[in-house]
Amino acid sequence: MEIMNLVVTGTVGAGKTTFIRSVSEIEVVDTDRRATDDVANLKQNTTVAMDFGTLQFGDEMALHIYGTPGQTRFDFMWEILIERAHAYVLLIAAHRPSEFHHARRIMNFMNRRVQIPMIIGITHSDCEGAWSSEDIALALGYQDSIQQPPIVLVNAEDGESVAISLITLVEHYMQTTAAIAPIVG
Amino acid sequence: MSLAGYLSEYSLAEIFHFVQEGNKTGVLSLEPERGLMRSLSDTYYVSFQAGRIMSVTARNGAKHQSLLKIMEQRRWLSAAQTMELETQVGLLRQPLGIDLKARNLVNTEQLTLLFNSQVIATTCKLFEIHHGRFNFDPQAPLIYGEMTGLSLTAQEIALLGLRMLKDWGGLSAKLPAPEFALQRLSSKLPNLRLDSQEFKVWNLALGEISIAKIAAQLGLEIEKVQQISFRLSSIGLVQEVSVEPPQPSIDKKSEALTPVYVGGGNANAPVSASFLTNLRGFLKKKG
Ligand SMILES: Nc1nc2c(ncn2[C@@H]2O[C@H](COP(=O)(O)OP(=O)(O)OP(=O)(O)O)[C@@H](O)[C@H]2O)c(=O)[nH]1
Ligand SMILES: [Mg+2]
Repeated sequence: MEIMNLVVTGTVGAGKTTFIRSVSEIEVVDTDRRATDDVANLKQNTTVAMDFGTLQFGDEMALHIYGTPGQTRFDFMWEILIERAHAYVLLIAAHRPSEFHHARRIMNFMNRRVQIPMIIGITHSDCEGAWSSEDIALALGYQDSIQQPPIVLVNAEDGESVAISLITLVEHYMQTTAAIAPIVG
Repeated sequence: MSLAGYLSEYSLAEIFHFVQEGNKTGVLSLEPERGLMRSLSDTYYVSFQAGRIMSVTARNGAKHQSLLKIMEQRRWLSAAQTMELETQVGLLRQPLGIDLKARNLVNTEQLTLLFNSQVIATTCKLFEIHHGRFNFDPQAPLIYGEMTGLSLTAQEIALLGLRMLKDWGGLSAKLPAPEFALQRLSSKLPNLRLDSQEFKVWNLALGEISIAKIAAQLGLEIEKVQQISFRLSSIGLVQEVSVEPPQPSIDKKSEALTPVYVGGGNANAPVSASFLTNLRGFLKKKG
């Protein structure tokens, strides 16, 4: 069995759990609990441990998707999750600019530990007060589009939209790994 | 799409940085929270053209400060001239200052003085506002009647504003922690005039030396280095990074929640090309 491990991370309430549910074909293991402390005023249920979903698309092939916990501290759980990931998706809710700093911190945290392909998924761009993806890229510190990872708009509630964002990730993975793979022959 | 929020979330320097990096044209309005400081106006409007600050105006109730009035107060224009010009400002297609200079009504020195008091002095005051709303409107018409024709990049003004800031109390929560290190975002020498302390800190922003150590090395107070770091990071020259990855601290209670990699999979081995092609094909049917 060949398995690709994908991590879905992002800011609180960005839609990580929903994203994983939208692609998974099995009942998602979710560990949503009532939120504590500062997260509580953002939403009632937050993911305290992790989400997990799978997508089996051949007898011997499956995509495993892991979500990071919603609350804002990095702990051992993160280390375990990202250690074996092949790629990751960073979800950011466009209508909560106060969270962009945290999104940047997550990205720094990840990139200091693993060098794996990633894409940024902008959710909630249909909501009032949503920032454009260009402005979010600026808030994340991308000063030009060359060094910037692919950024896609995604509605986590919509399976098609999630599938399209995953295609972007797969293609990005193909490009980045093709660039470093030794030429055989 | 909006570029709006609260100053408690984004400092003015950061907003300026977005506008400059995005090469934006439009008007940024700032509404300080009421009762904050008595000397503040209701709303400030900062006009940008391709990321450069062209003018800053303030509105207090119905009262709007105007460039023509300032020139009249300084007796550069007579009351009659001012009145006549006021009927024409709406038709301007270039900054007022350029228009008046072409007509020999003002000279470059006078325009520089105007720019210093209208833009530099006012913006420096704006950096003291830490609570209130901001909104950048890319569609707002440019107010040519308030422009001298001179401009500075948002980054240059932010650097000036933060250098002159005396009361850092409102920003204390945003200062980088002493145990964090700084990392340059570009190895190129910034094309900004950094002062000698800023330059020394920038030189040590290599992602390894903590702010506390930088302070010790340069013989500066930690707080001072935090302020310099904040300045350099808000204008996009450096970012704060953690020196050591936090050690995983596994306690008994959380052990029960440890995720299990259900099927294994080894990230050291990249996924095969046929796997990726299959996955893409499968997703295409769904998408
Ligand atoms: N309008 C809108 N709602 C969305 C979008 N994506 C997700 N949501 C909704 O946002 C809410 C939060 O989604 P979750 O999946 O719980 O977010 P999460 O990232 O798992 O949250 P935490 O685990 O607490 O961090 C849910 O009600 C989703 O249905 C989107 O693009 N647009
Ligand atoms: Mg969740």
